[in-house]
Amino acid sequence: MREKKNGKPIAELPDEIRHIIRQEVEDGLVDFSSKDFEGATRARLRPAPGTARRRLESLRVAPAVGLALAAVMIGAAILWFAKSPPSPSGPGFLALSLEISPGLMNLQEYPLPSRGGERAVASAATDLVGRALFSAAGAAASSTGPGKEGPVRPVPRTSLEQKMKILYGDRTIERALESFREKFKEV
Amino acid sequence: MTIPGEVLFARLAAYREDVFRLCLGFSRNAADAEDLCHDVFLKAFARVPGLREPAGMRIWLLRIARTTCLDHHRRLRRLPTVPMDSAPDAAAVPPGPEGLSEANEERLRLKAAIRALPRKQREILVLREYAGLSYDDLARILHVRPGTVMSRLNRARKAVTAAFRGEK
Repeated sequence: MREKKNGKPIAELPDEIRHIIRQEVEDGLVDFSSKDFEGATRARLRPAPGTARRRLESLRVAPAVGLALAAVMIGAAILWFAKSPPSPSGPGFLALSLEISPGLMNLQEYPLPSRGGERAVASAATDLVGRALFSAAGAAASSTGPGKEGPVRPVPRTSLEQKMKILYGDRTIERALESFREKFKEV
Repeated sequence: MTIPGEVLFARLAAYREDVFRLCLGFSRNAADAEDLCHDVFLKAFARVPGLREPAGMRIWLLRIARTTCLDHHRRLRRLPTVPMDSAPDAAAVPPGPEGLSEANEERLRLKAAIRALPRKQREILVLREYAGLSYDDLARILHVRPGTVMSRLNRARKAVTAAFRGEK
């Protein structure tokens, strides 16, 4: 049946051309059907044998590099934390500050201004530390003042020879001789 | 090792001849058509999650085949090689010295006539005459109206007939 568009017939291909095309397609299909197309497609869909092993071998390098990198990072971190001073916000710094100045414990009771943030906190802390140090010095002075016995501290005693060694080292004898000469000159 | 989606593969493979005809129409070479067919099915398997209507699987697959063939032709055009379709396809030629020469001559003449068509006319002629698609299928694959399909096909048929017969 002839195809039509808006009542007008659509041109048809002549039989000779249709025959050539049909023959070409049939020949191609005969050749195509004789092959295992599905099997070949399945084979392409599957990964080639040895691919997984090759991938694993290539990945073996990665863990070694990763381990080495991790070791370096851990070492660097240990060195960093061992050398760095306690951070101002850390518990180590607070413990150290309290050891130096127990008056810092009163920091919580200190009225803070509502605005100002860190600067206000810093000034308050400085103020408290100053006060604590001042009161500590005053207490020490009053406890060792006249009429009161303070704590007796052992005073280290060094002989003249030791002092000379500390001051002049290997040249102790020379210095002693020089001082004798000066004395003789005076005489 | 079993391939996942065995049922799906079987459903897709049911259209392998349609895909092959389409690829043959574009490549005009049985070996190339077979390779293109493999590529189409690999692409289709990879794109199955994007398939919206399982009922329209045939059209979806033929659309993939069309784009694959067009991409293949673009790649060939960029390569500085002698095109495969300049020589007759040995597998598609009937045996015998007389049949060989006649078939070769006619096929080469038809190839030249189809190649001389504008791209859109060539495409619709191949899809209709080689792949045997209906007007509705052509309209869905090419995203045009059925009236456009008919008018374009009308011009293509007239042009290829004139070129084949050596008319101007």
